[in-house]
Amino acid sequence: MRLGSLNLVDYRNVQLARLEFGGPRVFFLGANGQGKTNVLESIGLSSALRSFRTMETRDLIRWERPRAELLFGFEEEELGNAEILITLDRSRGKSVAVDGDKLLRFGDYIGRFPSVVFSSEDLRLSRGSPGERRKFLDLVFSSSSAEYLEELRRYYRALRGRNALLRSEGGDGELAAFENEMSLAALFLARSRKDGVTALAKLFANRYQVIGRAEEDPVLRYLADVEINAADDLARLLHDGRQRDRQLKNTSKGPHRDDCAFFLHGRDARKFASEGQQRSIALALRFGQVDFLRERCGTSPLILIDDVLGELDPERRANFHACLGDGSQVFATGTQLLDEDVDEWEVYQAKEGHFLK
Amino acid sequence: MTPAYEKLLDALKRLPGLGYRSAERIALRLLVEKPDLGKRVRQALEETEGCVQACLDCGNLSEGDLCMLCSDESRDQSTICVLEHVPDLFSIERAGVFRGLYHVLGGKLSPIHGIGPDELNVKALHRRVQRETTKELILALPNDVEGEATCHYLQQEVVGDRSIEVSRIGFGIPSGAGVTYSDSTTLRSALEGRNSY
Repeated sequence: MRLGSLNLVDYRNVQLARLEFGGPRVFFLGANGQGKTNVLESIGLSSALRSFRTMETRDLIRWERPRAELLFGFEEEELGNAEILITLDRSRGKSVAVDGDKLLRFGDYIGRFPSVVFSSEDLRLSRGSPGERRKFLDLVFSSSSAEYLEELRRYYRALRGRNALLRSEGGDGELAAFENEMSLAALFLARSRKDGVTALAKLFANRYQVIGRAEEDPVLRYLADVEINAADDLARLLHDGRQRDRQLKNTSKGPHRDDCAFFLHGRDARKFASEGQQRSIALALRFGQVDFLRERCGTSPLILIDDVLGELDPERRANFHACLGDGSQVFATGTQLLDEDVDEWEVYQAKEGHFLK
Repeated sequence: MTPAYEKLLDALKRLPGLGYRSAERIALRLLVEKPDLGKRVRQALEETEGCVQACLDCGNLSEGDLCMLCSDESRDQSTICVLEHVPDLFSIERAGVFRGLYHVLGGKLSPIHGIGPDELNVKALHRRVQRETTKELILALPNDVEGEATCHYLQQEVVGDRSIEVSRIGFGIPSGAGVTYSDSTTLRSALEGRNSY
């Protein structure tokens, strides 16, 4: 799959842009604040239908305009060309049309045009809070499985219900009703995360061997908050923990507390890894995500690299290039492009929301 | 535009499903185009006020203590179909596919919105399942988180150990529609709820 063209109207600081992409690698070059990341963000929108920077649709619409329009021309290996129109309207919200047909359920769209974003904030994946890693895992699994996304939503909705009951001192019967709902979704999430992380860990380790050093023995491990093997496992745990949870007015156990961890030489990377090793972990994890989505979605995801290349030392940059391979179409941004790299990229100069080849 | 007209428009806009344009159309129809219709609507509203209430047994609309359906002895008294709202009852009645009794909860458990069993028509259901005539409860609530949680609550807290059969309505492909255009959630429900043939 590749993105052949992108038209933007009133998107962020872009009044109008018509971009055609001929090659496998596109670079948006320009000073900060010119709209490079906005274009990358818009491309990301075509796969997840949500921004990797904001939850607010309104933030994506140009100042004082009623709506933004994004038109993507995709070329798919077997299905031929597909035209995706995303309309972001201040009052009506978001709508999506595939080849002119309005999309009624976003779930049906998931996994069709996958993409992976590399950003300088990825260092938070290894170093940040468990919540950041959970968000990452959920994003990876949701973008390849509509069922995962649905069960995840179900779990969190039931969890919010239980927490509201704990705050309002609701009865045991009501608690049991929402615990039962959580428990059913939790079994699916626990199994998917276990299988998913096992698959991802293998891909991550392979990529780390190229980006970092092979002998560091990189390991990614799923840390489940509670062991769940049957549909009523979590319900039983929640039932037993009610007294404590009532005092805390919050649900203290469950998949919403899951985490994963990285190990190098058998030691927790969060505590012991150097700055460079942390960077290698973040990159290998993103490439692992690329490989994972390729396996699960059956197509090579777009790779979106937001201002990351400039931060890498020469050795890692060379390894990074080796990792890019030929499978995926790559879109990158940066304030500068090294002379040695110029020939590889189709370069767009970004200036105040305009893009010139 | 006059102050009285504006006042009417403002009141109409507060009705569910009506935006500014629809409210405007209705106001003009009642005042100018069909004044007779306006009169009839006024009369009907006055007549129903204080006269139509919830049935004490099932929660359906009623002009006495019991609604027409609960008073109809020819209906199957052993089966109660539990619904979220009155319009759900109207839909099933119009279809003519069910001859038992109904029970309208008036919502579903939703702690996020502060709706618990006390806000729903649960006490009356408690009374009804204690009657010897009641043999089956059909749970026709939606299959979202709140709907499923409500079903679980009714089964555990209302039915409990009583020897009453509890069933759930099926979810799946609408009649007349095919597999091709069904979304993944519907297909999953349809496959999970398949029957032997």
